[in-house]
Amino acid sequence: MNEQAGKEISRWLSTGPDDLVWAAWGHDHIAYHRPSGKTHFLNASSRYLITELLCEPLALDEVVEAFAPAEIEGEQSAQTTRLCAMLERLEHLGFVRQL
Amino acid sequence: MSIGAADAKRVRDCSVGEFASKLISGLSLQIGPFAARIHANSARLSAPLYALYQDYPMLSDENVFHFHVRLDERRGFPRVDKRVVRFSVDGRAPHEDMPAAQALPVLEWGINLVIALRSHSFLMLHAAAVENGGRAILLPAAPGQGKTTLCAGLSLRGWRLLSDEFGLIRPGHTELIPVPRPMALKNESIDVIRRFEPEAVIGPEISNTRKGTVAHVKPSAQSIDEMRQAAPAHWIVFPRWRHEASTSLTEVSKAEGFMFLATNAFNYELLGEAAFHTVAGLVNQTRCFRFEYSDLDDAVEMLTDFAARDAE
Repeated sequence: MNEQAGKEISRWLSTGPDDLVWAAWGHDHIAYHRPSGKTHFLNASSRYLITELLCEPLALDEVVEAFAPAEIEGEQSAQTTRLCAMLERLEHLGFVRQL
Repeated sequence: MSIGAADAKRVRDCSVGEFASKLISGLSLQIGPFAARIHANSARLSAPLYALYQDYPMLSDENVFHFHVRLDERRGFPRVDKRVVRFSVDGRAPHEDMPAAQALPVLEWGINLVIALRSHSFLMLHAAAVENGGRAILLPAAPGQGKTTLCAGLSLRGWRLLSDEFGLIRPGHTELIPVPRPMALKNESIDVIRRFEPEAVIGPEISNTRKGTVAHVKPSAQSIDEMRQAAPAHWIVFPRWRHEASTSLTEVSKAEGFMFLATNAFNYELLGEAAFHTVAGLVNQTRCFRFEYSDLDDAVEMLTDFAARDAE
């Protein structure tokens, strides 16, 4: 991600530790989003991602590395695409934002 | 002392004539947790209302009421030859006048509407609820899924009716608050219940309403006598009537149950985080199931047998 020298890399961060209230059963997670008053059904991956982004802001390639390091060559691109889509969806819901 | 105690005066302690006079001057009733004041000048209402409400405790007219509702029969406009009824609550009519022949369902729907619009001290789930042996089944469903038919069937086989329309829960609690009301059967369900229990007390069939033909089943006297006794929910069953379906009960995940309950509540978003915690608490203490049926006898038998086994 450093190919764009001189251009700042955007980083992702969960919006706030107090924004979400959780209920969980097994791999199923339900989140109540205080700012919007909306309730959402999330899978374990989304919850893990939100939790990771609460600890520190991460760039996309750091998210990929922390979240799902590719063990097979060629998977990296697919995982990046999947995580990028997940981040955008969570951003749309107000759970994460870009710095 | 609970409201609805044995010494309270019941509607049946009046004659039909006295009841009709009270309807005109103002009838004060305890309906679940609600104190209701009802005025109605439609003569056609007194006999069916008397039959359906005979077990309800009457209140002093000096009470503080949760709502005052009126049903006024009058000439229509511009068709003055047509009689209409106007439902109003605290002096305001929430919808247009309706044909006078529909006075009973208009009043019943009107009371439901008032409860749904005003009772935000409760989380209100669109659900029926029945109780047996201290354990309640919550039956949440969208309209047309056979919820009321199933609820009526269970209540006519010994289950205590808590409600056929509202799953009422105080925020932060998980017990269901009874609000037993006449159960509004629609269309084919009326004959289904007549065949299921010929002794059931069913009000007049009113045709051509916005929901087709409707008729109301009287709640049992026990349901009214015990309407101050909340019941803990043990099972959440999402019923669905489907033509010729085999009766089947399938457990679903708690998360699925949660999302269905949250989207089916009347006021989940209004109560916000309190509603979230209440639904989570409810789901935590229950098992959730999908229930498909077409035959009411089978459905009632299966749920009753299952509840007896699961409670052991």
